[in-house]
Amino acid sequence: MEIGHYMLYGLQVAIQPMNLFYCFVGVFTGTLIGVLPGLGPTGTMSILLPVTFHISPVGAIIMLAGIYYGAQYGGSITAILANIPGEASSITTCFDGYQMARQGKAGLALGVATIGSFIAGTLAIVGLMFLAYPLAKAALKFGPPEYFSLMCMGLVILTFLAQGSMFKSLMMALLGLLIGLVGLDPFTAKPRFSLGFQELMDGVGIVPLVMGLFGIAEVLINLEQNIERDIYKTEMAGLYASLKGWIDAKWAILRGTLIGFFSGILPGGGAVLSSFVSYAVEKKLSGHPEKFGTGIIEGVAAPESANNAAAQSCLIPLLSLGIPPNVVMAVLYGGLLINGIQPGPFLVKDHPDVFWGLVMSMYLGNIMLLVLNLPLIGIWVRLLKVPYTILFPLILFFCLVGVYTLNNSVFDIYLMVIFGLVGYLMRKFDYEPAPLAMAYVLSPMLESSFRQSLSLSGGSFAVFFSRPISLVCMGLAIVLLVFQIVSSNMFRDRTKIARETGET
Amino acid sequence: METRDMISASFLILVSVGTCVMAYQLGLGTASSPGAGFASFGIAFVLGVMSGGMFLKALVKSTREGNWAQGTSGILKIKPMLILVTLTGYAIFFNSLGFPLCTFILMILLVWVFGRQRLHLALTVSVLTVASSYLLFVMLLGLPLPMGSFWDLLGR
Repeated sequence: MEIGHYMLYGLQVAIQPMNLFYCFVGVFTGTLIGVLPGLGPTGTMSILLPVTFHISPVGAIIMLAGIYYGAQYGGSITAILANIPGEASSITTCFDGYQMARQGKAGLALGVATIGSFIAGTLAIVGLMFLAYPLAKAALKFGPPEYFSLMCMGLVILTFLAQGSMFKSLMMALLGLLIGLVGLDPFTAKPRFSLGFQELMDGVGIVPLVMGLFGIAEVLINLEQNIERDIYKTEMAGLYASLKGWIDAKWAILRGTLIGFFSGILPGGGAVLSSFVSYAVEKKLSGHPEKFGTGIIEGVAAPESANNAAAQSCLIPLLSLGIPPNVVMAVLYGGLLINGIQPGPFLVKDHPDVFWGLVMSMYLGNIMLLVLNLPLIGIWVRLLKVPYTILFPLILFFCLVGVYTLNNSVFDIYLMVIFGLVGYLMRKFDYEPAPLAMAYVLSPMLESSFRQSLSLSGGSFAVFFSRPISLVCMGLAIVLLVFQIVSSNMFRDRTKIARETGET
Repeated sequence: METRDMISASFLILVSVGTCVMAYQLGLGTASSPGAGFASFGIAFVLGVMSGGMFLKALVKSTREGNWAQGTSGILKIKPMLILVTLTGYAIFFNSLGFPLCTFILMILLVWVFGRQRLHLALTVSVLTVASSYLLFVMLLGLPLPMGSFWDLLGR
């Protein structure tokens, strides 16, 4: 009953003309960057963060979230028609989607991908609504030790799920924690690690850091690679899928939705992880696994449903606990903070307009995406023909102006360029930037809860192991770390191993 | 790969040592009353130990296999570095030359020199970018972007 009341309230917020407009801008931009390879939702959201200064907090969050789930829709178009994953979460869609396009079934693949995404997205929002609200209420009972342990567990899981070496990911998480501590100490107001720069007294800004690590560095790496765009020309017939196509895909869509929903909630999870897991599960459960990779509809339906469900469910830990489960949510977390809203259990209580407005806008956003993606598919395909040599200068320009307008400070541009170099070098030296960014965002909260916990316990570290929730989280974090050490995988690059063994 | 690990580990060791020193100077406090440098000292210390471990492992492997110079060639490409220099130049001249002129020069460099597109296309993209961004950022959003002395001259 209470939820029904809030849903109506959220709908009232979401259908306000300006919020509808921001929702449209978000999902449109998301589809656009999803279609165009070379700029992901993280980079785009960080580029648009300064713009959110000039709009209402609700509108800002609706727009930023729209970019993320919109990108999942757009990514499938490039994957199916050009065999290029527009987003990392669309890699698995390439396997069967492009093969279907080659067999003249591009319309069917696109139709199932889009409508499957819509079903998954809508179901995931229902799950979000019924899970985030009670979770936020439960989280009100969390104290500093629980928060500290939860964040530690999140960081360890993130590094555990990282694509490369866990050892290197852990080191990046530690570096991110240190960067997050730059600025005035919240307890003593002493300046820390600001190296004499007045601009660093408030800490390193999230926008220069994320724009540098994900925007600038991504462009620099892309310039070293030739992105071939061989778009498969085919008939778009069967866009709304034949009956047989739907019968074949229905269980894959539902399984993908469930997998996506739960892997989205996991710390370190999200759209990328969910699409890989759902593809693997679908292959395992299939009666004809040998057909996967040859152009089978389940191979498109499962990962596309999963990545959309995950893109929506990963908002649960952010909105209810105030802990971003992945780097895209970390940027959204930054977006909420710079708009004066603290994500966490009090968000639902103090800013019901933001929480319920966002949830209800996502229903509308999914409908908009359905309209944007199916009838307008031809326009998106044409966009793929814009050469990267025209796109990258525009991306860099928007990064420069965006970061400057945040504080009207050239210092932020320098900072962004430095992080761009750091992000570029990290990729060259096989380090992942996501753990660094995540740890950076969590760092101030982690330090505060750590110091508060120790003060409360009189300096006893046992406080993290004497409370049930804290014990479970710390226990899981330690088990994962020990598991990695015992299996002596820490120094080995898991992606390399996968490549060597020929796994997909 | 080992040489790369040694280089990156050395950098992280330096960061770790520097942070430990600064954190110690800030004051570590006690466990019951942690100081401003308490958490950062601990984090930097663990980072140092891990980087040291990685450095030693890479050193041992490199010595055993004798592939010292391998793994570092071709890491850094000239084009990305030049683009970073261009972006730094944009920041340096942003306030003095102003946003429109700086943007125009930046776009010419990126599209024509780095993007290897034809000059007339680079000019078109640059002019369109300056005009549309002026309309969007200055006219519509009212952002206080520096116009520079060149713009003042045009205004006269």
